[in-house]
Amino acid sequence: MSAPPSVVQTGISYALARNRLGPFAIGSAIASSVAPLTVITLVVPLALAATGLLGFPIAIIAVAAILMIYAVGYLAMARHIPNAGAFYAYVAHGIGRPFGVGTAWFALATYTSFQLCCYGAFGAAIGAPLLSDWLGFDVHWFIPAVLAWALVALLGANEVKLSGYVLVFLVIAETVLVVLYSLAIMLTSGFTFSGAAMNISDLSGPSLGVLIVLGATSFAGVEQSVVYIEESKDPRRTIPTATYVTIAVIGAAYALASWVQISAAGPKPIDRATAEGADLFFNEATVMLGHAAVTVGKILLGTGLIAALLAFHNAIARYTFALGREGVLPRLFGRTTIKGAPRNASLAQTTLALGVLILYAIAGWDPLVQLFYWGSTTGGLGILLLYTLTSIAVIGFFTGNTHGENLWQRRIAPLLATAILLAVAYLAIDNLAGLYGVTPGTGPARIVPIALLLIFAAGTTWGLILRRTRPDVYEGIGRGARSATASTSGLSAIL
Amino acid sequence: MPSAEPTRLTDDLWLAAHDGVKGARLIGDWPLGVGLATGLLAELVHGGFLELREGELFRTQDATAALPSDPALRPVLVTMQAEEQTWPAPPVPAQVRATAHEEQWGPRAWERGAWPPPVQQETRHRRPGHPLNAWISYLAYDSRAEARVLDRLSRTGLVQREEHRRLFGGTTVRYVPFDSYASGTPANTITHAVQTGRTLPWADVILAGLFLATGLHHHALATLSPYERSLLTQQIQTGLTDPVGSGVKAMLRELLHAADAAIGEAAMR
Repeated sequence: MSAPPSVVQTGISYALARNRLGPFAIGSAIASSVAPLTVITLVVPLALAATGLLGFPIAIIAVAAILMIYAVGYLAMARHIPNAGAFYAYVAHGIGRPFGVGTAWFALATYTSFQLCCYGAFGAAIGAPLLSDWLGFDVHWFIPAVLAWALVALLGANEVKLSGYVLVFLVIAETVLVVLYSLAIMLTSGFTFSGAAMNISDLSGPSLGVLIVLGATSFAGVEQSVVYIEESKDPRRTIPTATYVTIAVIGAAYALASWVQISAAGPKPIDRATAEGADLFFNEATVMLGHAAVTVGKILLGTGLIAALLAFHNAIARYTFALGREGVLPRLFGRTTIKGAPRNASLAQTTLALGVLILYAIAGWDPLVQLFYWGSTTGGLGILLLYTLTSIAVIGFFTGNTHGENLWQRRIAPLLATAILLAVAYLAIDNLAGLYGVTPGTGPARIVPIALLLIFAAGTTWGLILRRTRPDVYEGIGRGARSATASTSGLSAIL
Repeated sequence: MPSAEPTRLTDDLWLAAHDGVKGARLIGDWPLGVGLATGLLAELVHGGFLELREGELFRTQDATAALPSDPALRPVLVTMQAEEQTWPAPPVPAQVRATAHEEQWGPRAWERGAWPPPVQQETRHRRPGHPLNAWISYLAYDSRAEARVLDRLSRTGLVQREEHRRLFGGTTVRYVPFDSYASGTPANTITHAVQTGRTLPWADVILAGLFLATGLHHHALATLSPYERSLLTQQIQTGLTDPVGSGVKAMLRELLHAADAAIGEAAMR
C-alpha cells in the first residue's frame, strides 16, 4: 500500500488536486441525475395514488440509511477495480464474468426505463400544460416529449454535457425551491404535520418492500459518484465525502418535502393525490405564494427533467459504449467520433426512445402513470436488485484478499447491507402489484419480473457463450480500457 | 517552410492534431493533452534523461549531470528535480552503503557487519520514482504540455499566433499551424514511408502509436489501405521491441500503454 497522498503536499500533487474535481462538483454532478424536484412533485403524488401508502417520508429515511451502509463496501471496492463506474464491473470482479454480462444487460434495461419515463413526465406534466396555457389550445403530450427527445438526441450524439456551473445552478435551484415551497406550505394557516406519514409501523410486512422501491427510485443516480474516481482530488476522501453528503442532503430535503406535502393534503391525502396528480405539491404552495409559484416551479421542473434526461442518456450511451468496446455488445457501439463521443451507442438509445414514445402515443397509454410512474418504479426495482447484486459482489471481491481495507469496509458493512437488501428485494418482488397499483398477476406486475429475469439470464448465457467462443473477449469483461481487446484503435492489441 | 531544424515527435503530434480547415483542432482537449504529455515523456525517455520502470519515472545520471537545452523538455526535468527536493530523504540506505564500503570482505565478514555487500545496481530500483499516471495527468491538465510544445514550435515558425477581438472587449488567442503543409507533413511522412516500404524511425513509430491512442488515426491515417495498415501495425510492433532484453523500447511501449488507458478511461466520464 502506498502512503496516503495527502501527507506530502508536493508541487505536482497540489497542482493536480487543483485541476481535479472536489466533493462539491462531484456531488452536484450526481445530484443532477437524482433530480430532486422531479421526485417531490411527480414521484410522491403518483406513488400515493398508486400504492395508497402514506409512509413515503419514512421510506426515504430508511433508504438513505441502507444506502449509507451499502456505500461503504461499494466505495471501498471502487478503489481497487478498473472501470468502477459500472455495476457490471463489480459483479464481473466479485462474482464472475458471466454474471457480469447479465448485470450489464440488466443495468442497461434499468437505466433505459429511468430515461424513457422522464420523457413521459416532461411531455405530460410540464410541456403540455405550459404550452396549452401559452398557445391557447390543447397540445398533445407527445409534441413536447418529442421536442425534448430531439434536443437530447442532438446533444447526446455530440456528447454535450451541461457544464459544471449549469448543473450546480440547476441542482441548487431545485433543492432551494423544494425547501422554500415546503416552508411556504408549512406557514399556510391550519397546517399540522401528519403523524401517519411518519408511522414507523409502515416499515413492516408487505408495504416495506413497496416503500423501499419508491425510495430507491428517488435516490437512483447516487451510485454514479464512482465514475469520477480517476478525476477526483483524492479518491479516498473526495468520493466518499461527496456520496455521503449527497445522500444525507437529498434525503433530508426529500423527507421534509414529502412529509409536508402529505400533511398539507388534508384528511384524505390519497384521494387528493389521485385527483390532482403532478400538480399536488404546486397547488399546495399556491395558497401561500400565488399562481406564479406554479409557473416558476414547472419551468424549473422542466429544466431539471431535461438535465436528468441528458444525464441518463449519456450514462446509457457510455454504458453501451463500454460494453461495445469490451466486445460484449457489438463492436459497432464501441466506436467514438474523432472528438470522443460514443455516437453509435447514443443513436441506438435515441432510436429506442422514439419508438417507445410513438408506441405510447398511438396506443393512447397514460404518459404519467403508465410511462412515468411504471417506468420509474421499474427502474427503482432494477436499481434495488443491482444494489443487492453489487453488495454480494463486494463480499466476494474481498474474500481471500483484503486489498488493504479494514474489516468494517470489506466484511461487516457489505454483509449487513446484503442481508437488508436481500430481505427488502424479496418483499418488493412479492408485492409488485401493490407497487404498480394494479391487480396481482396482471400488467406490469406480471411482465416486469419476467422481463428482468429474462434479460439477466440472457446476458449471463451470453457471458458463458463468450467464455467458450471468444476467450480473449471473456478475459477482458469488466476491465474497461485495460481490457486487451478493448481499444477500438487497436493500439493495445498491437502492443 | 520557415523551419530551420527538424521538428520533434511531440511537435509533429500537435501539428497533425491541428490539420483541420484553417488549423481547426481535430481531437478533444483531453486526448490531445494526454498525447502531448506522452510525447514529451517519450522524448525524454529516448534521450536517456528518464527511465520508466513499473509505472514510475526515474531521472537518470545524464539528467542529473546536464539538463537538455530543449525548451520543451528542460522545464519538465526541472519540475521533477524540484519535486524530488520535497521528498523526505531515505536515511537508512546511505548509512549501510558507507559502512559496507569501508569494511574488508573476508570469510567471516558477516560477523563484522559487512554483510550484505553493497548492491548498487539493484537498489537503484527502490529509489522513489515519479508516478507515470500522475505525470501524464499533470501535463495534460491546464494544457501544460501544450504550452511547452507551443513554446518550442513557435521558435521554428511552424505555428502562428492568431488574435481575435471579441464583441465585448478582450481578445482570444489561439495558435494555428503556419500552413496546411506544416500540419500535413507528419502524417504524410508516415503514410508515405509505409506505402513505399521504408522503415519508420523511432519517433514516427511512437507518433503512429499516439495517432492510434488519441483517435487521430481516423484523420491522419485515413488514406492507408487495409494491407498498408497491417504493414504499419508490424512496423509499430517491431519498432517497439528491443533486440535483446528490455530497454528503451520496452519503456516506450509502456508509455503508449499508459496513454491508451488514460484516454480510454476518460471516455467513460
